[in-house]
Amino acid sequence: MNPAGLRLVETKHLKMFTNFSLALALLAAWPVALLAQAPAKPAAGLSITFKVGTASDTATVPNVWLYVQAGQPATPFVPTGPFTAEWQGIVNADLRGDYAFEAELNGAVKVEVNGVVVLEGATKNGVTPRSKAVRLSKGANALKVTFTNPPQGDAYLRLHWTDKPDKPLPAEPIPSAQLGHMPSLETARGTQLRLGRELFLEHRCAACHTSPSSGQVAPELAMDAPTFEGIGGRRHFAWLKQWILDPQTQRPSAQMPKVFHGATAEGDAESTAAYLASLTSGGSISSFLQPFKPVAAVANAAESPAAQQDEGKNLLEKLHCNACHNLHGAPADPKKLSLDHLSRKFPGGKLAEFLRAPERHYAWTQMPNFRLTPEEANELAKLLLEKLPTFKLPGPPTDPAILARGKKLVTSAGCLNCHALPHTKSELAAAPLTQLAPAKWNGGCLAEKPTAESKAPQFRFTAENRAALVAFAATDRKSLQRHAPAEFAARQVHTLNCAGCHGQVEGFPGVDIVGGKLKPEWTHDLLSGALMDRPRPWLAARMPAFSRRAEFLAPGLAQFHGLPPRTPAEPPLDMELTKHGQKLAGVDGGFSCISCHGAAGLAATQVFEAPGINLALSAARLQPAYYRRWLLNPQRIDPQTKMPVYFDEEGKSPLPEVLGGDAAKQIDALWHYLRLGEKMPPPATQ
Amino acid sequence: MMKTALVFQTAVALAVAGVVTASAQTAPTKMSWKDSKSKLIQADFPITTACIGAKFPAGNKANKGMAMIVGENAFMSFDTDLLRFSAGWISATVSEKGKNFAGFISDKGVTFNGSHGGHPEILGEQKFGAKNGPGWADATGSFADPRKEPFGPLPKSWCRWDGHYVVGDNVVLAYTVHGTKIHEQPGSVEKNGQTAFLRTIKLETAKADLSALILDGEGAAKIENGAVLVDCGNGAVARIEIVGAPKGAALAVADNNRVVLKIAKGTAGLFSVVIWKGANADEAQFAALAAVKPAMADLAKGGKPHWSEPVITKGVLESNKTPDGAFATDVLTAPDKNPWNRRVRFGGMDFFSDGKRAALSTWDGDIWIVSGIDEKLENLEWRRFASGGFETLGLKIVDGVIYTSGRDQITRYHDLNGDGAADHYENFNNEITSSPGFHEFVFDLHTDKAGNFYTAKAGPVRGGGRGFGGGGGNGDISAHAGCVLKISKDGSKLEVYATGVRAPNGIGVGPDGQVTTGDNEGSWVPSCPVNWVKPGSFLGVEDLNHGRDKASFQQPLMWLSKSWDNSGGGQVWVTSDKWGPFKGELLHCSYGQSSLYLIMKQEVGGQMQGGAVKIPVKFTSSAMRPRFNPVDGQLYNAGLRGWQSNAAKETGFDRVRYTGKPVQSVAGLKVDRYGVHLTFTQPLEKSSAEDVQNYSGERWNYQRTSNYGSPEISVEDPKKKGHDKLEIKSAKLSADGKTVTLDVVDLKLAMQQLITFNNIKAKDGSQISQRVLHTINAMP
Repeated sequence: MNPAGLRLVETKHLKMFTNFSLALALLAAWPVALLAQAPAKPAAGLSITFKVGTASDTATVPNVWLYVQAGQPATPFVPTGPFTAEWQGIVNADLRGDYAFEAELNGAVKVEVNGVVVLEGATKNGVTPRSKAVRLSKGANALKVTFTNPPQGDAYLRLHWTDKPDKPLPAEPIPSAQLGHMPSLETARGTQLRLGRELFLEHRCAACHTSPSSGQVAPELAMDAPTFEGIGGRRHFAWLKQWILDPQTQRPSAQMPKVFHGATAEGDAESTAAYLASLTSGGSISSFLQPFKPVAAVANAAESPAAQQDEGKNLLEKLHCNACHNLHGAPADPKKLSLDHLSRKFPGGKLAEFLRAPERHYAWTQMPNFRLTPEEANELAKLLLEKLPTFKLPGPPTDPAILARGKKLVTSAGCLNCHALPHTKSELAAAPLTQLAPAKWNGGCLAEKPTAESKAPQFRFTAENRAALVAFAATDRKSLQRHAPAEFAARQVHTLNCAGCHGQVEGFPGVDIVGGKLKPEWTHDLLSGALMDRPRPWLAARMPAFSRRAEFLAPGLAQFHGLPPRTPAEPPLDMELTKHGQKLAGVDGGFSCISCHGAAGLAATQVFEAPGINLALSAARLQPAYYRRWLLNPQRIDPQTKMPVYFDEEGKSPLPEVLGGDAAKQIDALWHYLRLGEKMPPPATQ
Repeated sequence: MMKTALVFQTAVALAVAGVVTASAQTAPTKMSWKDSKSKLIQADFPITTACIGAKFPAGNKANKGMAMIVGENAFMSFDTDLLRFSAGWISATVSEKGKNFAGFISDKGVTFNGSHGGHPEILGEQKFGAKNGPGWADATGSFADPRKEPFGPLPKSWCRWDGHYVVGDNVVLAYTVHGTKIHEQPGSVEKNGQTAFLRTIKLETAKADLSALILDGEGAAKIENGAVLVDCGNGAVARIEIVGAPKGAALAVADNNRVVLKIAKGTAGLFSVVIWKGANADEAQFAALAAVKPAMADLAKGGKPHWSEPVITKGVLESNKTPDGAFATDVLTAPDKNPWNRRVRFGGMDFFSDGKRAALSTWDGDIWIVSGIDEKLENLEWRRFASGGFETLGLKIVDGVIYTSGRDQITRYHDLNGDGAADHYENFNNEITSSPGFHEFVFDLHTDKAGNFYTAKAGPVRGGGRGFGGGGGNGDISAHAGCVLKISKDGSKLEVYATGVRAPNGIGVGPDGQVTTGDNEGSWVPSCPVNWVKPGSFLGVEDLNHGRDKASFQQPLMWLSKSWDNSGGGQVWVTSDKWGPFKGELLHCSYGQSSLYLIMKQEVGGQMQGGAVKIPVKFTSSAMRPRFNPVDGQLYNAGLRGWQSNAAKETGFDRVRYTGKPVQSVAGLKVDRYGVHLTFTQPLEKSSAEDVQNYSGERWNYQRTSNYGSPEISVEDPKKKGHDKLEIKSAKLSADGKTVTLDVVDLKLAMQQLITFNNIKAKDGSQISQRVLHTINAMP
C-alpha cells in the first residue's frame, strides 16, 4: 500500500548508512524497509510493533514501558485480543561497560541486546530475576524486546537496567535519552495514521460525518465547541462576524472551518453574527473552581529568591502566559496565539470572567483554568487590555430579516453540529463516515484547492495533514471506537503544549517524567482542579486545571510509563516504621529533612532559594517506585537538584543506628512516615 | 549578697525540677530561666557570645555580645567592639503559642535553632541599656562613634579589648582605655525581690581623664547627693551609685539622660557601680542592695573547672575503605553524649605536637581536647577545655597554645592554674568586622611558615540564599565580609588578603604559603570552586569586591559540579610521606558532599588550572577540616552538619589511614594541544588503556551571575542548556605505561570537563574505573 503523500524510500536509497558507523552495526537487526532523507539519523525513542492476529501496528515510544488493561486494545489501530509487542532500536552507552536487565511485568518478555538474548521469562505480576551482566559497547547497541500478553489480567511491562550489576542497587529505568531507533516505513506509517486520526478527531469531523460508536471510544469524539447559549453577552458582534467569516486569518491554527464562501460570504457572516449577538440570555456562570490554598507555613516566604525572582514581574509573566501566547511587545512567534484581538472580542468585564472559567462555555478548550482569584482575573484582564487600542465597535444589526437569516444559517450551515444551542437542532446532514470512500478524501472539506462553487467548509489543511487524513481514511476506521489511554495522554501533551512550561521554565519538572513520578489520583485532582494544596506554593506560577481531560489524562500518563491507571493498594501502615521514619526526617539522629522540607504544619527550618515540597504531600503525590529511586539517589534523576545523596552504592545508609543502616529499610520507613500525610508528627528540629 | 558558684552547681538539679513543675501545672506560673524551652543556650557556663539584641534603646544590638549570667536571675551583655554594657536584665516567664517558658536569651539564629536570619534577643525584663556607640569616651571626652561603619572595634589609639577571664562562675573583663588597664567584673545583688547590677572596676592609675558610659536613661536623669536618678516613666525609677568610689571617680549626667562615670587622671582603686531600676515605691530598698564591699575574683589562680570529668569513647577501626584498599577510615567517636548535654559540632581541629592529642572547637563555641590518639583508638579521652566562643569554626595550635577564629576575634587560650581548662580567653586580634547577619561565618584558621594567621569571613548572605546584606537579620556588607584575612604572627595587624568569597567553609595554606579556598555555590558563585588565592586577588562575588576591579576576577584553579561539591570544605597539603604516593599534593574537601578529592594542578602562563579525582572514603559527618597528624602522618578530618549537606551526623572526627596497599588511581592531569594527559599511580596494561571505547567525556560552562548557582550550559552553544559530548579520537599510552593521552576533537577552554573511564587494567591486573572533573582556563 502506498498511501498518497508518504515519502517512500526504495531500496536503492540504502546508502543512507554509509557515513554512519554505529548504524552499520545495526543493519543486520534492522527492518528492511527504510525511510527517506539520507543521511538518516536515529530518532528518539524506540519503534514498537503490535501484532494481534493478522493486524499489526507500529508506533514510536520513548521507552520499554507498556500498560494495557484487560479488555482494552493495545493501540487504537489493533483490535482487542491477545497481542505481542516488539520494541526495536538502539541503546546508547556512554562508554563500554557492564549492565544487567530486569523487568516488572505481567506476561512474557524476551530482551535481546546486540543479537544476544539477555533476559527471557514470564511472570504473573512480578519481577524477573536480574539478568547476567552484559557488556555494552560505547555508543549504539541494538536492542530488541518482545512482550506477549498474559493469559489473565492487565498486560504490562517495565524494563529496567543497572549500570552497576555488581552492586546491590535496585535496577532503574533506562534513561529515555539513551534510546533511539532508525525511522522505518512502518514507523512513518504509524506516525502518519496517528496524525490522520488525531486531525479527524480534533477537527470534529465526526460531528458531521457521523460514525457508529459504542462502548469505549476515542475521548475526543466527545469534544464540544463554544456553546451559543448566551454568547451574545460574552462576545462582541464585530469580532463574531470577523471570526465566522474566516477563522484562520485570525488564528492560523483554528480548527473551525470557513463555512461561508463567495459573494454572499460577508452577508452570511454578518447575519450569523447578528443572530448570535442576539443570544444574550442564559449561560451565566454561578460558580468557579476554588483557588489553591494560600501560601502558609513556608519559612522565609518573603525572603525566598523564588519570590524575589518574580519581583517586578506582572501576573502575565508570573503565570508564563507567553508559553502559548504572544504577549504584547514581545516578538511574535507564529506558533503562539496572538492576543491582539482581545479588545474586539470581549465586552467589558467578560475577559476577566472568561479567565476565571475558560472551560465553562467550552469544556474541551485548550485554555486551562488557572484558578484565579477575582482580583487576579481582573489584574490579568487589565494587563491584557491596557496596551490594546480601544474601538468604537458597531452594535449588531437589529433588522429582524437579518436576524432571521442568521438563525436559518446557524441551523443550516452546520454550526450546530459542533456548537450547542438549547432547543435548536442542526439541519445539516452530511454523508455519514461509512459512505466516505478513501477515494473521496481529496474533495469537499479536503480539497487542495476548493472550486468556486464548492460549499464545503474549508479547513485549509496542509499537504502533510491531507495526506495523513487520506491514510487514515484507508484504514477500517475502527480506531475511532478504540481508546488507548497512553496514546491519548501523548496526544494531549503536545496538543496542550505542556512542554511550553515543563522542562522550559526553571522549577517546572519535565513533562516526560510526570506519569512515572506522580500517582494518577494526584494527577487527576491536579488536572481537574480539585486539589487544594499546591506542592510549591512559593512559586507565583501554578499548575492550571484541564478539567474535562482529567479523567482520561491522569490514567493515560501513568500507563504511558507502564504504570497502572489506579495506584494499587499499599501494605498496611506500620506505626513502628513511621516512628523510624520520623526520626530519620529529623535533625537528631536523622537526615535533617526538616532543614529544607516543611512537615505538615511545621515550616522548613533552613531554606535557601526555595523550600523542598512539604513532606505531608509526598505520599499522596509520588509513585512509590519513583520515591524510592529519588531517595536512593536524587541526582541520578535530576543532576541539578539540591537534594543530597545520602545512600551509597552498597545500599548502606550513613546512619547505622536505624534499621541496621539498610538503605532500603530506611527509605521504606520514611515512606510509612510520609504516608501519615497531614497527620505526621513533627520531626525533631534540634 | 554577691552571687556564688552555688548557682551553677545546682543549675542542673533546678532545671530538672523546673521541667517537672512546668509540666505538672497548667496555670501560668513563674518559671526559672533555667527551664528555658531551649536546651541550646547553656545555663551552666556564664558566657554565651553572639550578636545580642536588646529591647531598648531603639536598635540596641551588641554585634559581638557576651551575654553573661551574673546572678541567680541577673544577666548583662557586654559589647567587645565598643566596650559597653549594652543591657542588664532579669528573666521573666513568657507565653508563646499558649506555652510558658523562660530563659535569658532566645535561641534564635542559625547556630542555635538553625533559623536563617536573626540572632538571640534578651528575654525577660530589661533594667538598663546603652545606645550603640563607644562605651568609653575618646581623649576629648566625646562618645561620638569614630568608625567608618558601625562594625568592628574602636581605634586602638583609643581603647583595646584584651579579653576575659573565667573564674569559677565569675567573669572578669579586661581592656585598656587610653593606656589605662582596666579589669571589670559584672555581678549582681539580689534581695527581697529586687536586683541591682554591679560593675566592679579595678583601675590601675588612670593615665588620662576617662569617661565610661553607664547607661542611657529611659527618661531624664539628675544627680542627687552623688547618686543618679532616672525617671523611667510609668512610676519607675533607676538609681545608680558608686560604692567605694576613690577620689576622682564620680557619676555625671550628660545630654539630659545619659549616665556617665567620670574618672580623673591619676585615679586608681577598686569600686562598684550599682545600677538598679524598679518602682518608685521600692527605691528605699536601694540602700540595702548597695551595701556591698567591692571585690574582684583572683585572676591569677583561675577558677574551679566547670567540667571536671572526661568523656571516654572508643574509636572504630576501618569503618570503610577505598575499593583499592589503599585507604581506610577510622572513626574517632565524638563525645556527643556528654554530662552537659552539650551539642558537639566540630568546626576547627589541630594537633598538639605529640600527635596523641588534638584540640577541636565547636560551632557552639566550645573547645574539646581529645587524648589517646593511637593506632587502636581504644581509649579516647575527651575533656572540655573552654566554652562561650562566638561560632568558633577554626582552630590552630601554635607552640602548644590553642587559637580559635570566631566571629568576634581570634582568641588565644591560657590555662593559668593547670587544671586542664582555660581561665584566660585572650583577645589575639579582634579587628574583624561582624554585623548582625546570620551568615557571617568565620571559617578555618591556618598559619604560614612565617607564623602569620589566615582565616576567611563569609559574606552576609540573605535569608533566602540569594544576594547579600540589606540590614536586619541579614546583616550588612561590612569591611571584611567575603574576605580572606591575614593576621600577623603577633596579632597586632589584620589585613584583607583577598576579596570576593561567598561562604568558603574551609581554606588551606600550603607549606610554601600558598593560600587556597573552596566556596559555596550561590550569587556570583556558579558552582563550587577551588580558589588558588594570590594576595590582593578578587575571587568573584561582585557584591563583596570591596573596591577591587570586578574585571580582575581570578579564575579558580577549578570548578566542581554540584554532585561533586555543592559546598566546599577545607584544603590540606599532603605533608606526610606516610600517606601513599601523594606527598606534596593538594587535597580538597566537600562539605556538602562529604567527599575528599585529590586536586591535580597545572600552571599555564601564571594561571592555575586542574582537576579532581575522588578518594572514595566515607566520613562520619561532613568533610571540612582536614589536617595531617604530625606524628603518625595520617590524614584526619573533623566536620559538622549545620546547613545543607549529605553528612549523616551532626559531627564526626575521622582518620583516613594509608594501609600500605598500592593506590590505583589517576594522580596527575595535564592539558595541552595534544590532548588530555592522565597520569596513573600504576603502569597500565596497554590494550585496555588504549581502547577508546573505555573513555567518554563531556564539557559544559557555567554563568557567573547574581542568581543562586548556575545552570549547566553548552560550550558549543551558550544559548543551550546541557553538556556537549566529547569526541575522543584515540587513547595512547606512554612508554612508561603510566600516562594516557586522550586525543579530544576540538579540545578547548571549558569551565568544566568530565572524563570518565571504565575498566582500565593496571599491569598488576587490577581494574580502574574513575571520573576526572577538571577545568581548562588556558591552553598551553
